Amino acid sequence: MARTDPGGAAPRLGVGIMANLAIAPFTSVVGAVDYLAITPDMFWIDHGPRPDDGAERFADIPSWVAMLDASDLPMVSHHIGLSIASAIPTDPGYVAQMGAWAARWQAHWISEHLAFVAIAEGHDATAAGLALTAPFDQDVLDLAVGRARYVIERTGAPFLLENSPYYVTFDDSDMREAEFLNRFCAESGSGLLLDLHNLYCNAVNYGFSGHRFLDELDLATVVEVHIANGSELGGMYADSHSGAPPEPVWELLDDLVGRAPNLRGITFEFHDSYLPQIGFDGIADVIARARRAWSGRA
Amino acid sequence: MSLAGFQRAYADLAASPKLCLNVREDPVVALAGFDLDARERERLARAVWQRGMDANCTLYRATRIAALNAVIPLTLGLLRPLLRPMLEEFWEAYPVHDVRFARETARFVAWLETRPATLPEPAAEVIALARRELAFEETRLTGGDR
Repeated sequence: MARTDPGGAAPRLGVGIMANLAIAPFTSVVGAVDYLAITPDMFWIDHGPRPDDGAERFADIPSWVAMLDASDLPMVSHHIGLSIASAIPTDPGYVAQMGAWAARWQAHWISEHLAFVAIAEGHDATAAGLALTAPFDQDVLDLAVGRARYVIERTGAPFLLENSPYYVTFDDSDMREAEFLNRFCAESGSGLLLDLHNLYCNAVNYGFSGHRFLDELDLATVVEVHIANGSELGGMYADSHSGAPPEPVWELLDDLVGRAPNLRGITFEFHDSYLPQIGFDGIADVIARARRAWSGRA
Repeated sequence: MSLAGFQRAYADLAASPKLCLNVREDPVVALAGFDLDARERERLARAVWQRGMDANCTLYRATRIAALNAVIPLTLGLLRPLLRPMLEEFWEAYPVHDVRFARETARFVAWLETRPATLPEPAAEVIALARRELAFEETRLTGGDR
């Protein structure tokens, strides 16, 4: 079991939404949501590691950052570029930027996905082109734990790891996914960002019970939850953020909330291209239902 | 650094249905260029038979198309009848996705410029449209749209 609360001093925020450009007219209404989850990598240009020439590596995308300037909602940082499971050296410049961004926007915590998006290219690194999940092996665990400790040390912020959807499995992995996540949190001092739709994807694709998976997790590690929807992709059910969560995801949320004593927030994720289908009224319905679930928290 | 070799091979498989088929046919030969131990080689040889590897390949391609569509949607609209074989050729020439959308698109536009004979007429105007859309994105990224 987790010995301490991995959320640290972060407040209980309530129900939030993953920020995208289309959502500003909705979130600008007072009380519409309780916080914004930001993917900082979408708000800057990364020119890549630079020689010591004084040049700035990261530059704001002004039209996007303006959206954050206009908001006074609490924020949390949800990254996509740390590549926590990559067998390459940690990028200290990227981690420094994670910390700088969290400080600038007073992000209550920082999160990243359990995946690798960067791969070795000779002595350098290059993008894999998509996020892939490594086998749940001891060497991957050691790598991820070391990287998470480094992030916590450098940023001073609570760090959460998100469980990922996977479309290929390695059934001879050293451990099961839940054991991997529990050990990661215990050994690194991190918390869990439990994406219930990712869990649902894996449960659908590989025929297991998401509720039993919850039974295997140390739910005291769960600080944030994601809810979303998905769609068919190449014969699999994929996490496409395509609208209001399906009923089984709500059932997982209801099952979880009362058993996760350190839960700080429930975040709704949808891709802005689906806004015409869901509409602002549909988003409001999702937030309202999530708030009802939130009211049943431990 | 075997794990690095495994991740490299896994990512290359997700990017290439052709490599997946080659591994299905002869895993020893197709994976010979990667730094893998026996367990990793066995894992990948089994993985290429999973339905999910097809999904990974589809996702990889969808991500690359999304990058282009986000930056030069009007150009892609003009190219639509030719797009599938054209993208196959582009991906063959540039198998690794540059995840920065503007850079991936700049590479595609530069590639289009080398093959005007394959474009719809007037090809020069199609290329000019692509350049204008790309320039707009570059302006947006640097804040010149404000």
